[in-house]
Amino acid sequence: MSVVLRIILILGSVAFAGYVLGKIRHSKMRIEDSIFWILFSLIIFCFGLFPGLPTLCAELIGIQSPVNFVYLFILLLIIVKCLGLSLKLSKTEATLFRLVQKEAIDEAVKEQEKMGKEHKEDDI
Amino acid sequence: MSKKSNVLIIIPAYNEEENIVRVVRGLEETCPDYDYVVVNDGSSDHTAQLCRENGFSLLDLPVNLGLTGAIQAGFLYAYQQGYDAALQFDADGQHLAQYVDSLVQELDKGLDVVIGSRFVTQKKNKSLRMLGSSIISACIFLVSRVRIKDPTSGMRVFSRATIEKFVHNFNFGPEPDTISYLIKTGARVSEVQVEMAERIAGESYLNPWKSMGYMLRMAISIIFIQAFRK
Repeated sequence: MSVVLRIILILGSVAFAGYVLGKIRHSKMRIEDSIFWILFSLIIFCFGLFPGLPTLCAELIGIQSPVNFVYLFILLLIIVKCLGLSLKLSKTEATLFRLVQKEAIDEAVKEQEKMGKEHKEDDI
Repeated sequence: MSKKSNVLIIIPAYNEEENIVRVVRGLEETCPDYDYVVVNDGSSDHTAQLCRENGFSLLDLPVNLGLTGAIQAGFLYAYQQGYDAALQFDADGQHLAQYVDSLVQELDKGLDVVIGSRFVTQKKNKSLRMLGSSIISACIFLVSRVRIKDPTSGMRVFSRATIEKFVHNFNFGPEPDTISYLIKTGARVSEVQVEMAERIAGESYLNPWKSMGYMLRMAISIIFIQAFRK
């Protein structure tokens, strides 16, 4: 890997981690959700600092150029994260649906009870 | 509901139909002077129904939020009702009601958090789980210079000032990384020796993989992330 690419990886990962930590600092991100991104930038940082690491991994799975391994690695992690987010969104939507439905039903039941009471008063 | 005490015992319960009645009855018998509230965390079993049938004080969450959300609901309730302290108590029977008093008494000495610890006077046994506990202890010591011997204990009592932080802030979960953050920001935290029972019925949600993930999350959070929080 070229020195320029290594510098980009190192600076890029530091800036990225700084941005994520800033979001936590200002309470815009949950710590649980940030752990992935912190680990992510830590690994990219290590790739930039120790180029032997991606070189070794590239050799192990038969990729000629270490830089291609770096791209593949980032791509894979992003796909995994994307899938995770998609699953989480489905769950969040299901939760939202249930809350809205419950709210509407509770409201309807309350109204029915009120009507029932009024009718009884009319009878008397 | 009228207040009997200045301390509210919060019992988060998720699918605990096998334990909840025994645990709450035990608590009512041993600690009749304390108020409690069961927070049903959207259980899919009969936990909420059993609480209603037995007339337990209940917050029934319509969907499952997880432990952090359930505890926060309990804290919000405690805060709004004007309680001076809130104690976290497991619904699975692991926590023993006879130790509630000693935790509360310790808090009354002017502390912010008191942890019911299994290892103040007793030694940890050597298991994988205890190794995890030791690693978290070491992380907390590294950043705060305070030794917490049982950071993963879920039996803790919090002062009103601390409850307020849980209610108003983002990223306050009932986990060791929050304890570490509280210590670093000046909270006085102490531990009181307690015993804990083995789980009698039901299943723990922690398997070895989840435990390892939990450990890793806590270590990263305590060492890397908490340092950057305001």
